[in-house]
Amino acid sequence: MSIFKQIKENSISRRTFLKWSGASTAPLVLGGISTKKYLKPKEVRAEKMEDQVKVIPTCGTTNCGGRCLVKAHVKDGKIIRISTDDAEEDSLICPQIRACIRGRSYRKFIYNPNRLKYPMKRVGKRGEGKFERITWEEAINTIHKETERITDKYGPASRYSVYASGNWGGITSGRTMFNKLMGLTGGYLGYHNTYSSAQTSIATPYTYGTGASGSSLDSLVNSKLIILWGHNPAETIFGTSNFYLKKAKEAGAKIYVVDPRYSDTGVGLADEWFPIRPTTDNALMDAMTYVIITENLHDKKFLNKYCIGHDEKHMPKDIPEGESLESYILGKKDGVEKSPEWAEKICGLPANKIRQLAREYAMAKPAALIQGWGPQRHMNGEQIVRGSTVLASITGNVGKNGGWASGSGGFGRTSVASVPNVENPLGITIPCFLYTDAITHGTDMTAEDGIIGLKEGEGLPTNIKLLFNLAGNALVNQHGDINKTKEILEDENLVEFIVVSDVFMTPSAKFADILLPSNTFFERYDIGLPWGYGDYAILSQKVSESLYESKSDYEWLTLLAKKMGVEKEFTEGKTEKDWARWVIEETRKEDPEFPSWKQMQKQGIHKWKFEKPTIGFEKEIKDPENNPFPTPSGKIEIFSKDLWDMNKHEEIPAIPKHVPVDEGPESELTKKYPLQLIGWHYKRRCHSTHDNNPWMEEAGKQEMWMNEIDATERNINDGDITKVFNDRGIVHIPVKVTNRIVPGVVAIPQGAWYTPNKEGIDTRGSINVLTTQKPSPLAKGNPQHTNLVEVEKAQ
Amino acid sequence: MRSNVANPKVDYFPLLELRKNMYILLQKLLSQPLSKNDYIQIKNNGNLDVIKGFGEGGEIIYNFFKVDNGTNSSVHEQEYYKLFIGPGTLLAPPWESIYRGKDRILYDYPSLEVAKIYDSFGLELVERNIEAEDHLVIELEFMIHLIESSSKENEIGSRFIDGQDLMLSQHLSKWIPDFTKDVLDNTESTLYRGFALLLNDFISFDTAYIKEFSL
Amino acid sequence: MTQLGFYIDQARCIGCKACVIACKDKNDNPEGVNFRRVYSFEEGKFTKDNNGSFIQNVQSYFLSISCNHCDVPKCVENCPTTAMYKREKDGVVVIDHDKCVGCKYCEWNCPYGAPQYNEELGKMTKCDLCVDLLAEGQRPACEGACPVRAIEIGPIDELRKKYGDNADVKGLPSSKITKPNLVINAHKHASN
Repeated sequence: MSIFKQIKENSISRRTFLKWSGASTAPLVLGGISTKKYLKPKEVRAEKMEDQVKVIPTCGTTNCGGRCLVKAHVKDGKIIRISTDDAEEDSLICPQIRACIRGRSYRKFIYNPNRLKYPMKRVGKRGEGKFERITWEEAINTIHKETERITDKYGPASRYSVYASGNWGGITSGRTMFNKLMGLTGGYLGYHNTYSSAQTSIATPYTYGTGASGSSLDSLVNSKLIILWGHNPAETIFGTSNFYLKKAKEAGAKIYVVDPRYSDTGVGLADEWFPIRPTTDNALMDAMTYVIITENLHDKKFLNKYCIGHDEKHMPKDIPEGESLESYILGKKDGVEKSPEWAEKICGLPANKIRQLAREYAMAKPAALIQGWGPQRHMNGEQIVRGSTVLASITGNVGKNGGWASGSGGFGRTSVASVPNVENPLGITIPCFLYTDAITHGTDMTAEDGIIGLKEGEGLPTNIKLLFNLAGNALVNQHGDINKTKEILEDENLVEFIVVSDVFMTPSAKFADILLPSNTFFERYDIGLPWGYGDYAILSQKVSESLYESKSDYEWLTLLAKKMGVEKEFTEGKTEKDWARWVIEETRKEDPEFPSWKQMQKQGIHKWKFEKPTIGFEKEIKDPENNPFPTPSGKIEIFSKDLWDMNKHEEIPAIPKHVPVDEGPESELTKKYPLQLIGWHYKRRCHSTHDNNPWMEEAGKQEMWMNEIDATERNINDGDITKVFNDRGIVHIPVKVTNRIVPGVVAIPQGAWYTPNKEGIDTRGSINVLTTQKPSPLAKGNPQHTNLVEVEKAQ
Repeated sequence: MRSNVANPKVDYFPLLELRKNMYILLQKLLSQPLSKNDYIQIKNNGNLDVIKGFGEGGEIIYNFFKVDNGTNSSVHEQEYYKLFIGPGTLLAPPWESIYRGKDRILYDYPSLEVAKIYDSFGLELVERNIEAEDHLVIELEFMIHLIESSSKENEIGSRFIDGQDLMLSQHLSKWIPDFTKDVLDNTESTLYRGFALLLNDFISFDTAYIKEFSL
Repeated sequence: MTQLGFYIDQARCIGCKACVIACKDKNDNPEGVNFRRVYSFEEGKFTKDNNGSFIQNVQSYFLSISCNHCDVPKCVENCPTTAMYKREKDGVVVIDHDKCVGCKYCEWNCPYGAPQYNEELGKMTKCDLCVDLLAEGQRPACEGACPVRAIEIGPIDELRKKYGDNADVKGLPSSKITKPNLVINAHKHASN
């Protein structure tokens, strides 16, 4: 097109063009303005520009139990495709470790334009989200200055690293390296528990003396009946659970699902769904025990040989009469028989169904009642955990191939060497869920609050004053009662300095004073391990250079360590790559079958092969004389004297009981907030990771499940935007009307990013706007599924 | 060589200089938030008369620097962050891959394509991974490089002209309009609205203009 | 001719959509274009019982479906430009993009939703059984993705020998219409 025609058609005036084309035009002068140069003449090199595609095996290190093999196809330093495990062998003892939809969408994670790119410092109020760019040098200097200042003023116990699982890698994550750095420079306030498993990890040892109550999953092919109790491995990937459950079905196992929702696991793998109301699991368990005992289906031999507390004849000394399991179940002391008729009013599952479940579980030899971690995340979660171990014990399913001891099911028969760390000289840990309490009134908190490492009657030496939030969203988004948490963090007199490192600007990152851009797992070395049940380890290889100015936590903590004068002790002279290599070489010393560094770089994954299943408590059952359970009595403690001695018989009974919760179906509060609200782990996120991935939105929209009965009562139709609220906050979220959930219960998938509008109403459906900060009685754990709400159509 | 311009040889070289400076100006406005010093420099040493009539954007930019002393620089700085850097969701992510790729992610096929073009002209990134090759600042830098190189040549119709034609017609013109729309939809800052309009008009002008000289 | 086809173990499908995403990724499909789709169905409801409990008869299942490379492909029959054709050697139905004009007739005629319009290309696109991967000795994307190994691809005769010849479940049109090369192990709630 002629230039003159062009000029006529756009807004450039002819005058301007003539002005331009006149040789005497004064040039556009910009007075020596220069900008940074990004391009330079090519260096003379032997190789041409990379046209080859390299395939590098690696894995993600988000908080995922699957830890699959991910192959990055790299061209010219850029990842152009992701593929997964396609090994020849795909057998029972050596399955392929395939990626799910999250693993496959990793390119949209690493190349998301909204990645944090430069260190930033806050301008404006904390939590407002206004930042300006600074250099790494300024960032480290500021962090150093503030750390010194606060440590000098309040002591090292004021320093706390918030529970975070965005980088759940094996060797040098920010979590563990913060501990090392602070351990080398006076100590810090540590934490115990996790947000995943607090109640179960604390409660299971009261039965078995340990939380390692699981078996390898290949044992499930020997089960006649598998009950997945609040366990949803189809969405929350637990190693290779789905593969093994399918194999079990093929081998003839029946699978039942006990869950307030007809989960994807239920639909795909279960023969029947047994729906119950949340927090009423123990009523159901009690009734099952009732049926099993009254119909003489319990394994008396097993009980008498291995357990205490099941009947009056087998109780610890000095316990008054009527406190045994049998007495409780048969109502000998409280006059209430825990029959199916009693239970159905509470849990909602009809009495005949309770009987069916009980009889089948008792008569299937062996049977596996697998306790998921969902139900233990309740205000009475400890009871649910203990209840499942009791059922396993009265049916003799402990220590059997194809059975399952229940409880936390902790398991791991493979391991790699761990990177050396430093002990915390202060030796104090708080339950991680109570971190906001430790900010507002830490000095008033004692051992009664679950704090470990304090002397009798002693409170914490100081409130928390300095927060490091490294690769996590539990500072705000994943913690209870977001509105309350916000208020606490916004107060700069409470926490005086907050350092955050992340890949994205999450709701937690908004509260940073210094915000650091983290690189992704593609850009650093690590070792990836699955949660317990998988027999494999993956070298998470560096596939490309860190984008922009992002650094790994290890890298910038090294810079901080240098400022604090402990660089040598911190790094021990090693980079992340060196540590990955060190772990592999150390592991090889103990396990010569383990591949070498070079081999791991090529194959990426090492799969251990075991010819037969490893059964939890097999030794203790086969040879109890020489292998007592690690409990005070050496037996399976259905009745726990340790719990009895705590003297909180209502809240923390010595045998597992149905303990009604404050925000449950039996409480007064239902008059105001009649619906129970639970969350679940959604297949399109890994906790809160991937919420900003649009591909994942196509795979799983953020919506709340609501039963048809409840929806109709409220004039709510499928797809309507609803207002969900209680005293703690308000959330707007679209609804999926479905009968795959129990009436009286609504469910919001957890992990959505808190997105408040101008009125402070969350518009994305972030469940923690509605959850509480009150901890569970024994473990002081997060009861994030125990909530009451009301739902209306949003205006 | 084809041209309908009166006398291309005479008009060509001063125009090269003008075009180059235009790219420099656009680059300057995009590469970083303007410091107070920048305002002073541009006001005192810049001769922005030339862009005054260059569409709505030119008018806005001209008037902006005439009037503004940089007193509101922090406001515009925050707008700059919101649009182009973050933290948070970038409102106008300045990469070709975002607008032409399917997934709105970085390092999509456009970045591989322009990297190849830079390579064919003997250029590579100073530092890899510190920025993607298809960031607007780099595409503008490349245009400047080509213009400078073509002004060293005596003949019109060199491969540097071809390079400019390629960049403009196969790359810049294909995404700048959508990028401009995102900027205009998401900011009230006169500085960046002016920038976007000027960028859009100039790229569409230059895309047609360069055709006059390419073989 | 060795007709290729699909075996879907619907009874085991957990609706995870790994097959959808793997296929989408392999074919570089934009948002809205999915050669393989997973649908979820539910029936039944809860009724409150007198004893404070509830009785339920909820049934639910997933169905993963792409193109069935049918014996009587209506898409081929009704394509006005002959762009859509069935390959001689393996019966896979593919589209010749040189001939396709994007008229969408095939989309209207397919009972399974297989042909999909790609706006950018202006043409129809669909599952081609990853014949390019098969030619290199690799497995098709969906098959390699499934965590419960519910998809199997191979010569339809072999699949039928192994798994029977049921291609009808609730939610799918009758197999009599286009004779799909598909064998389904029906979910217990999806049997007709």
